[in-house]
Amino acid sequence: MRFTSTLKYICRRLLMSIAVLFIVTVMIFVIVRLSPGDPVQSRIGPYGDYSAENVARIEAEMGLDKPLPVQYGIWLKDCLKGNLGVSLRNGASVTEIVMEKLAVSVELIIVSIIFAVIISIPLGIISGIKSGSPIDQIASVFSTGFLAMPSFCTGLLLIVVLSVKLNILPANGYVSFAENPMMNIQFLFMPALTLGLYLIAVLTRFVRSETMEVATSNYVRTARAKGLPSSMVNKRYILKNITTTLVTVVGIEFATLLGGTVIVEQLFGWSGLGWYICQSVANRDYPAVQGSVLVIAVAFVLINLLMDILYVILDPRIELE
Amino acid sequence: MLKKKSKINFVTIFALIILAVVILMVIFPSLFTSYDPLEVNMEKKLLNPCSEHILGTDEYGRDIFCRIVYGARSSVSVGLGTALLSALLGVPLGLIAGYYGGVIDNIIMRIMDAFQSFPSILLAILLSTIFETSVFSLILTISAVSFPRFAKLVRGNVLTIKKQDYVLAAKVAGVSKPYILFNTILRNCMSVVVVQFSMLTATAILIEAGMSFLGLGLKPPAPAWGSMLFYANKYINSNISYILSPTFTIFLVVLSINLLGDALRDLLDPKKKN
Repeated sequence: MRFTSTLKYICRRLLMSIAVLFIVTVMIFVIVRLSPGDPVQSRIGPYGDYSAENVARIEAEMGLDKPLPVQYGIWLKDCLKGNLGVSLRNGASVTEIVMEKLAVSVELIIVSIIFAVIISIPLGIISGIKSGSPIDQIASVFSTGFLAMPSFCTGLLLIVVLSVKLNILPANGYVSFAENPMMNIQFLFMPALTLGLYLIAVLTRFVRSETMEVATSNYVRTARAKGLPSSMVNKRYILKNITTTLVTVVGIEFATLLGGTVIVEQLFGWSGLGWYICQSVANRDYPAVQGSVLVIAVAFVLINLLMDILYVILDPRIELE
Repeated sequence: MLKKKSKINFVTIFALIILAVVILMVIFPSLFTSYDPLEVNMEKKLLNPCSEHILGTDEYGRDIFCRIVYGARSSVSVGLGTALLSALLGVPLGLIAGYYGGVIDNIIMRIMDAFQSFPSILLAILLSTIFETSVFSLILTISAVSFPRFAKLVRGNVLTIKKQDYVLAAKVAGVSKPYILFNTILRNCMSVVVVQFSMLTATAILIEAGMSFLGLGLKPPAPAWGSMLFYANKYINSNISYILSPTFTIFLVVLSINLLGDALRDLLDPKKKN
């Protein structure tokens, strides 16, 4: 019974995601088409040949002479094949650049998530079990503060303190880990801390409220009444029960950060996907913008889908409508 | 009544005072400063805080405190404008989706999902490529990112409200559908809408500041908090207060609006209190 209803649920979620992805691609296509700037002009360049035949030839070559729905179809087909077009700026393959930049962003996001998880799980559990205690109150002030603190504020404060005043870390830049691991970590430290502090605020709040719910449940009360040591109750009963939801929340945060790191990347010159999008917008390099945004949106939809599925599989108590 | 009063604590009062000051800055900026936000004085550029300029001056010798005061106007108009436009778009969509259900609901909600598949700052950046930047274009852009939240929230509320007896009673009495939707049901969603409105004002101010920080905000010389950050970033070594002033202003205002939103939620929705 459970198996068939889970399967049904997964199929429904899958169909919904496909519908959403279709709308997303239409949106990106339309927005980029509405943007000012003539692709033919940027292809020919300022000193090129602007005779009517040449313009018509290039339009035909780029598929711009066909009706819009057909153009959309061709674009979508190329995207499905993994071809996101070429950058107007240097003619490089957008797919390749985006994948390379994506890896740079993912490094930053994963490090901040690990940092945040390590701190927020114990902090959240303690606050939840001993709600109202001094630790809980400090944690709550901290979360409220960092939730209201925009990432550029945190980042700027870190730069002011750590690189302007104390001069112990470089303010911005990027070197790949393969090239120079030490430098990579130095550059990574501040952006990762900026994102991490925000994530700690989000996750601590979440772990705290989940813990409070689990800690008052019957099975935890029974375990305590049986005389189990509290460290065992915390680990085996509470932590285990909040893990499922925590995994999905972390997954969704990851998806949100994929494109949401734009500001942090720009501030610290961390040349990931967000940074690349900013550069491409400034250069009016539309294929690059289109490709990067598409990759981020698709990743977002897929990760959300995956997390939803994981959630119902991991926790058999979840009711499926 | 007693319970309601006890909810207004000193944190809420702090938030209210900050917001009252900001509103005064928007309406009567000249009460706070005698300087002109646009007056250039190259002899006094990048001064550190002193008795004459309490927060120092920027790279054109303009008084920073004065620019913060006048900058409130653009940030507040973007914040409130966005919240208003998002409510006007999102609330009816949410009402219709929740009330009619079925195919209509599915279509509306999938479109909302699509809008929410982009990190908000990213969609805002993408949309900003279409428009020439102005307060209005910023409102339009940030609303496009935010209205789905209204729609989803209202829809969720409608789903429970439409099963209530008073809605059934109105139906039986032969009241027209639009009236039930935009009067009976909407009135009962109002508390959620009000709270979301305040939260969204804060989010919009943040997104605006973020976009300005990336250089996609209001163009100089107009004073705006986010754009100040963008330019101050280059002078971080010469005058730290130049960058810290807008940073703290944005932080304080957003924090105050959030605190006020929390207080409003407790006040308007006694059921949700934990």
